[in-house]
Amino acid sequence: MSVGNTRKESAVVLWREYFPRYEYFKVSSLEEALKLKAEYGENAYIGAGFTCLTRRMRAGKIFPKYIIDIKGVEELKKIESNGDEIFIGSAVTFHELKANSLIAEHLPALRDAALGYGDLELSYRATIGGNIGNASPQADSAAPLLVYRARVVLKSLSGERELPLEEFIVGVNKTAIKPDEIITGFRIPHPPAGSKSGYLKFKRSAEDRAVVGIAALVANIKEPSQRTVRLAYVSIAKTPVYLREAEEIFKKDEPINKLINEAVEAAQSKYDMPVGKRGIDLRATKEYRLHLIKIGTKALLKKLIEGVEVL
Amino acid sequence: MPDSYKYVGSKVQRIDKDKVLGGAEFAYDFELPGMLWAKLVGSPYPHAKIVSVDYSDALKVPGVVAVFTGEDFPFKVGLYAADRDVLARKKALYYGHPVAAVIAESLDAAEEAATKIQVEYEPLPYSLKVEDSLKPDAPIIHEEMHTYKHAVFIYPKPGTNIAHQTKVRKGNVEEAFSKADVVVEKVYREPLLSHYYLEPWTGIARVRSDGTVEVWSSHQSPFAVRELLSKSLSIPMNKLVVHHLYTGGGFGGKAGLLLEHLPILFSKKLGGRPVKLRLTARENFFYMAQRAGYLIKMKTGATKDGKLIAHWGEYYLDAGAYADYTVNMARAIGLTATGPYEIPNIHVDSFAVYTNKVPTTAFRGFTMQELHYAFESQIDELAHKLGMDPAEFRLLNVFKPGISRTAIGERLKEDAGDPATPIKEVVKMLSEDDEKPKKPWIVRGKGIAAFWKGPFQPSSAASSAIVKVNDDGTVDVLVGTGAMGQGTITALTQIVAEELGIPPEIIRVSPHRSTDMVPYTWQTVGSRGLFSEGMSVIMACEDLIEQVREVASIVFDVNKNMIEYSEGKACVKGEPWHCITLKEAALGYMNPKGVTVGGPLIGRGYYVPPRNVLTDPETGQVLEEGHLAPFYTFGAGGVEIEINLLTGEIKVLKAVSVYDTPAVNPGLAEGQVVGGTVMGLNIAMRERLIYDEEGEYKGVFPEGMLLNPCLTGYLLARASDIPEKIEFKFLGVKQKDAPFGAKGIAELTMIPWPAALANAIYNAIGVRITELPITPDKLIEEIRKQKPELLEQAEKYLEVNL
Ligand SMILES: Cc1cc2nc3c(=O)[nH]c(=O)nc-3n(C[C@H](O)[C@H](O)[C@H](O)COP(=O)(O)OP(=O)(O)OC[C@H]3O[C@@H](n4cnc5c(N)ncnc54)[C@H](O)[C@@H]3O)c2cc1C
Repeated sequence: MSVGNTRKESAVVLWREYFPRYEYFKVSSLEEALKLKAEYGENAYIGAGFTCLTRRMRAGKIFPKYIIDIKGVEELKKIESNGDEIFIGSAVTFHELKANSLIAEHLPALRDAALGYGDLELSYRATIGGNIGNASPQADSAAPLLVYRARVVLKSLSGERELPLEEFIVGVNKTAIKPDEIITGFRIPHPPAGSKSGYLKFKRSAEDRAVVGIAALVANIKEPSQRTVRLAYVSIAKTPVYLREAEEIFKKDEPINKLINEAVEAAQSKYDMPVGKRGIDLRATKEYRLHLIKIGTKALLKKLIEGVEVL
Repeated sequence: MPDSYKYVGSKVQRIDKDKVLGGAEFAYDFELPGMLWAKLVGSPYPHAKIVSVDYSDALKVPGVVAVFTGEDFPFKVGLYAADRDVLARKKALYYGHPVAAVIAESLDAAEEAATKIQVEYEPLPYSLKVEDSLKPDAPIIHEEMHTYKHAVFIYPKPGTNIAHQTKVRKGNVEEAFSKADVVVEKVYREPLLSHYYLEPWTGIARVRSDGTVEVWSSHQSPFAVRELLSKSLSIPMNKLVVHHLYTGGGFGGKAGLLLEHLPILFSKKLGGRPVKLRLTARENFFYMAQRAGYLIKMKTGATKDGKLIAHWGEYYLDAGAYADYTVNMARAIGLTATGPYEIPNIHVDSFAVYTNKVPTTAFRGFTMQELHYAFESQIDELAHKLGMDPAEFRLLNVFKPGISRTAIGERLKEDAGDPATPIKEVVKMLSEDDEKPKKPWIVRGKGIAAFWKGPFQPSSAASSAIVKVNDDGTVDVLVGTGAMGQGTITALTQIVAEELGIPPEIIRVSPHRSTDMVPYTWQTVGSRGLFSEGMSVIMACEDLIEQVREVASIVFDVNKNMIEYSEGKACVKGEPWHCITLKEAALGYMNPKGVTVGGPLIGRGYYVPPRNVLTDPETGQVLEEGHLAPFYTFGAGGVEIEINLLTGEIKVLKAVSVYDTPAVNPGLAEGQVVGGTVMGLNIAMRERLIYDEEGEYKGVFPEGMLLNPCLTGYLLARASDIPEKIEFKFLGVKQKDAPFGAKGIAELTMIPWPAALANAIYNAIGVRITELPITPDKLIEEIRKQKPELLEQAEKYLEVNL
């Protein structure tokens, strides 16, 4: 039994049907979008698939005055390679990621993430730019992009800049984007030759966001000094986590299972789902998420190293 | 009755397809000229004194017509226990409790004004748990319980948080336990649930110039809504019309009194102008009643030879802030006490207990899913302790119709059904394939659960029907049962076609029912629709046939017993050229000379359960030989599952169920089975309304708030969660006084799954889960507690070999 506040307060709770009124621009070129962004800045929201934007508007979390719909901008829908780097346009949908052969060949972890996206119908709308732009702790694409060392490409009328993904996402629904900028896409160096990578997602139902999501990339596993092991996690903290410690841990010349255990512990120590038994998103208990970090990391590495699929 | 029928028993395609085609009209969409909109605001505290309400700023918003608060309506409303304020008065009893309403010309204006309402509260101690509500120093949620009106069979305990208690006493339990060779004692829990019907509740009301109050709303049972409104608001029934449109799902959540009183009272205060109150999906979690939570304590004893001899239980329903319907549910679970098994010594108390949570009401299964989850787990444990096969153990104890007496001393009729065969069949259906999983960290298990259920209704619950013949020989059928998608319209059409010997195409059962236009039926609940309406329709057809025979006997000048009716006509025996068709007799038969015999054909029929009786308040035993319900459907369900020991994930490979009754329409019955299976399994594995019962989220979420009022937080089954194999059988065991022998099935199809799943888990890994939902995190936690070695072994398979 709990005792409430003894303070008197004047308030009511209210759930509205109201949807913010906004001015809508459907642009067909990046140029047009950048101009609008330059003019309206923070008051203008980019809409790509709208799968998050409309939800947050309905929930009364954001009140855009202007919405710039970039779905139809062809140059943002490219997936191409220049031999060194792969560029993925921000308006590429999860469905397109699933279906693309460059992705399948070079960035299998990103393909896994697209396959695991929580809603088949929405995968035809939801974009990778929106996934990162929304900066949710569960953003599936973030983990693969982190292990692939993706850089976010940001453009405004005054030019282009790039930021490592780690620096781009700074908090729950918070990014380092400037008011006049648009994410045009992601630049991803081709992964090391012979490397293997994948993404493993745990969910509560067949169609759900991640309870825990794990991406890994492994190369030259047999030679400790040459070894590359990269690990990244979503839905274990307020922002996606790139486990920098793993890089050093796996360089050590010790039995691999010992190193894996060490990496698991390092990852578990990153757990930061604010409060309560189930974490702020109520998806699962802390104990269970720690358990999944362990089981999932081990299973994914076993698959990438030995080719044995456990989960 | 012959055993093979032309229409009954065949897969006649569903007639009412409006919903699938997008043509159905719902209260949600319904509008009237000059209509006003209402918007509610809720309390941000789970329990608080309302000190003052200031809505002066709200009234200044253009388009606002009025603001009402609890003080405008100083009376209670309700059905079994009239415990509900119209709007919170003096105290708010849960987070979200409506404290005021704005009425405006547009929804926008109403919402805008609602943001400007100021309410001053004085927070009070609150309780979010049954255990807390029962403590001697618990905050009393309904201080004025002693003044509440309630039904004769409801026993509130003023001065406590107990809204109702049912007692069942039979034999001598203490003595019996001392003779028991094995005893199992456990505590089972289920959380509050949402019905999550797709159409949020909506109601529109107006007062006509002649004083008639009209209401269009999203409900299951138009006549129950009328009865409650008439009693609660003192409106004579001839001045109160409840219109039933298509209802977007109910699952029990739209039975009984909903929120119709709000738009009615608002309209009355505003000169009768139509007022619409439409909830958003999120509001629906707070303003509508949800399903109670359960805390079930059980102790059950058996002898070495496998006979159940003693059962003790305390069943608590967490009723939330209002228990209007939940009190009767507490009665249902108490009186059903021991599932489909005969036990000579029983001591059970069941309670509905107030807490500061959202109000609760009926839910598909009316406590039987919850009872059977607990009781069938007990049975499974006892069988294991006795070293007996769980199915064999069940068969030793299951009711024998004609011989057995139930927990309340009711002797089951000879033709009450077949409780045993479904158990045997389910076992057979499960064991057909016995493949082993290929991976050692994946284990398989099978589990079964038996069940029974009849409709829990007042002993007088009546139904009626009218069958009219139109001028062209087509037929209109009027019934009062609600159309929520359950398929009654099609099945009743089949019954009329069979009875009158005419094709279904020329029969129409209207989906719309207004209480001033269609004959009475008590409620659309308890799997009783097709049974009760079916009986009424059969009687109405018989009445109609009598009328045609009467006309024919006059026209052909023969004794009435010389007239035979079949295939839509009445003929003189042996003279097939002397016939009158339904069409010819529709408005009265006119002979060649212009003389008309008879008049418009209207058949009338009704059904009232024969010999349903009440029970003794002190012992729960029937007051005289009789029954609690007009039928009981018996059945069993089973699942075959795979458990991933690494993740705790459960995959249901196969879900099988068997019902003793025949099916009037096997196609629609299949729909019920698939829907019920999916719903029951999802309740077993995913659904729960989350409250911060342990105070872990203080400072993060408002205190006492329901934490997951949306579909990302409240997990419904998605298409890919549905098991690939859902198999079922209807045994076709007929009850004599049932429509074509058929009993209800709608709720039955969702009852066995949580129990079967828990038993399958036990069968697979020896871990007993006594709390729903069985989520992967809970399963891993329980494995860690009960069988840690399983986890350790499984994790070995994750070692990397380099
Ligand atoms: C039912 C459902 C299931 C979901 N399942 C998953 C899941 O499994 N995994 C997952 O990760 N997410 C999931 N989501 C969340 C969401 O669909 C994804 O994050 C999606 O990728 C968002 O993309 P979008 O194009 O729809 O973004 P939008 O809604 O259009 O935008 C999201 C945010 O990013 C900003 N933004 C978009 N594009 C740009 C750009 N080019 N430049 C700058 N800012 C930009 C927008 O202004 C907005 O703030 C789910 C959502 C729903 C409703």
